Amino acid sequence: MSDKKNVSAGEGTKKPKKPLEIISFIRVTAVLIVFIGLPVLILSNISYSFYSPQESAIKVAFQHTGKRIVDCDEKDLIKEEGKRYRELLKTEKRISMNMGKLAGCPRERFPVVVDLSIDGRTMLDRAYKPKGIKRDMASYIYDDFIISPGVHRIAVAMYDSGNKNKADATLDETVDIKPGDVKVLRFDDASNKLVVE
Amino acid sequence: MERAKTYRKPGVTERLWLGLEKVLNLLTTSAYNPFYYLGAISIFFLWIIFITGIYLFVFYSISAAGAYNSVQYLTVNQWYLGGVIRSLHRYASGGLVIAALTHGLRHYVLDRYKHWRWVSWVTGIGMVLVIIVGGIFGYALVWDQRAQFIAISLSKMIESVPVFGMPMSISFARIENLADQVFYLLLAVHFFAIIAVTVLVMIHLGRVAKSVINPPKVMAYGLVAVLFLLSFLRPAVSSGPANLKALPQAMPFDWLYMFMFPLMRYMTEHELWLFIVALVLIVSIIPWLTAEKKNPEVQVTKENCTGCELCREDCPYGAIQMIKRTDGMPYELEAVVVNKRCASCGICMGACDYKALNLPDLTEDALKAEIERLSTELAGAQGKKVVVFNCAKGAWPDGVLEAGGRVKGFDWARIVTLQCIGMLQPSMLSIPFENGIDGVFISGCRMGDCSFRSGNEWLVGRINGYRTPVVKKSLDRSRIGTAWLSAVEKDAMLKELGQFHKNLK
Ligand code: HEM
Ligand code: SF4
Ligand code: SF4
Repeated sequence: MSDKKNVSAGEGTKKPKKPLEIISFIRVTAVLIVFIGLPVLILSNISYSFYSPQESAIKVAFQHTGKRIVDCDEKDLIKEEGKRYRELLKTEKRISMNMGKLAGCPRERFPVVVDLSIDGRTMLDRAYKPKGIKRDMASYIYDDFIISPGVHRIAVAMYDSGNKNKADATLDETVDIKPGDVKVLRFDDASNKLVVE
Repeated sequence: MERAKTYRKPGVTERLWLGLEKVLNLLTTSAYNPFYYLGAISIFFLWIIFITGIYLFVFYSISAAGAYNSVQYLTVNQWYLGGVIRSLHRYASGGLVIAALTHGLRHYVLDRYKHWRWVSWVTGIGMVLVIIVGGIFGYALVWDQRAQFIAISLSKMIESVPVFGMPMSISFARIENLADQVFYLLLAVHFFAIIAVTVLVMIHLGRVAKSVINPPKVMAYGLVAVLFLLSFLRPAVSSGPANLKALPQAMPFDWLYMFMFPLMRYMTEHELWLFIVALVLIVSIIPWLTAEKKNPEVQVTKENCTGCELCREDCPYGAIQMIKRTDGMPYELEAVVVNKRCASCGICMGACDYKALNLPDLTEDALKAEIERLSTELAGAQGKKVVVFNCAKGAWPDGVLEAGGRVKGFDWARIVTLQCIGMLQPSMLSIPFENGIDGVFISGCRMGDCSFRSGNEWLVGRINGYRTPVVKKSLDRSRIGTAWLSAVEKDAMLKELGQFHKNLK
């Protein structure tokens, strides 16, 4: 009885002639090219266009802080309270800042409302809520529209003080939009004006 | 006589898939069949992505103004090194998606994703998600027109979910709004993806003992060769620089990563989210939707267990734990089965020399009695006689169970069917010889593709004497034949069996 002959782990009962490693390499590589290389090459490189060349866009994109709902100037209050504190300091020994008085100043702001019409058609009439848990920060205004290129009349009104009868800023402009162009409508803080560019 | 335990035959898609692999085996042999190493190939790609990524990071300028040019510098000025590395990074990422998806699909088609395998299944899906998100952010880093398109589309998707609450679209509306911090954020997400995948791989393989995480060397060279080939055929390049004043036009698109953005043409952001979430959820719960009753798990007969640890060593799913002896027997340890990990494969039965492990639906005693019965039944026959041990997951003739181990035209053979060929304990191999049988033929899954991961490999080790428990030296190895074939190769299996019978002396 022989115990020398090993049971093969190869292809079946007979021990296969081990092919040269270089041949294995070539064969494996061929299979890898077909099943990995080719699909990767093709799928990672198909030309695609989300937008057609005959489209343009208008984006309404800016950050703006609405007015305080309750007109209460925190800075003034702090100044006042500081003054009282310093005065009291001269006369009394035990004093404290009146924090309650400061906290009583609500900081919530109005949403920023943007009305946009293009060629007389209303595209947008939306209130953007202020950020922050207390709604005391700026509103982020963003919306976009695909439009056809050409000359368009853009009319915008922005309200930031809760009064829908009186716009806080307006814009009425005719713009020529080239194919593929992106026009951005925003409120420019420096000039305090709505601009489209 | 019919046996109580029955086994499932492969369905149509399973046979088609195995048929494809059969063809590939003609070319590569099963030792190098890439389909048997898709998980390891995925990990190999991850390594390449990581290493090439470090080089790209060194040259990358994390700023709106510098990003594009820094990548252009690598691609154009340093095409011979930086350009090649960028291409390798790109194509390894593409290869990763293909390999991981094929790997997952293969597990689905071959019905290897349920019960104890659910952890691998669910984390696998998680990995694909993380990889795709990571890749998308990678494409955004280039800051070309494709990146611009991604940034704009991705911002809308992110903003549409209130919890994220980040107003990213404003940043990408005007170049003046675009802070460099945005690029730090893109880079952080991109890099975090690889860390998250690493963690997920660890969970993925948590139940997969001795997992195969490296492809064979020849295959690794092959993978590198393919990546270089792609890099030279079509070096990875950028499209034109991002220009926020214009809509991005036709761009080279990577459908492996960006396939969902085109859907935004037809769906709102919320619809797309719903689609993605529903798809991921459904695919994730498939193992439970399709689950049939699980086979009963292996049971330990504590009185017989000597604490030798061989079962723990051989269990392909780490389902056996050795704990301190609880019954006062003079052994240090005892084996305990973690049922939810147990695949009921019986490989541990093949490793236990002490009759301490039993599958309730096929106990060691029952199995040995069957071998003995079939052997004595056959012993009186004319000519050379063969007992066949047959894995139910591999190639086996139809109707053999119903026919009491007989196959038409093979009157000199009786077939014993096992849950996994790794269940074959060395002492079982001796029974036919002790009963006047001339040869034993073993048929199991293709090497490298055991349904229970390592049953066939362990058995070869036991027969060849390098894995305990070993098959007795005195058994004549020339009387033991083997065939490692898949479920669609039963004709080849019978042919090999006939050949073995003919050659028996
Ligand atoms: C980056 C992605 C992936 C990597 C690196 C990876 C890697 C691996 C590796 C190395 C194994 C062990 C193979 C073995 O030794 O038997 C494995 C097993 C497994 N993988 Fe993945 N995999 C990935 C994605 C997936 C996906 C997407 C799925 C399915 C949705 C999946 C499902 C499975 C299952 C079910 C097993 C268990 C195999 C068994 O129990 O026999 N994997 N994976
Ligand atoms: S192989 Fe058997 S005897 Fe050894 S530890 Fe496992 S159950 Fe106990
Ligand atoms: S039956 Fe298989 S999975 Fe279960 S404990 Fe035994 S070897 Fe592990």
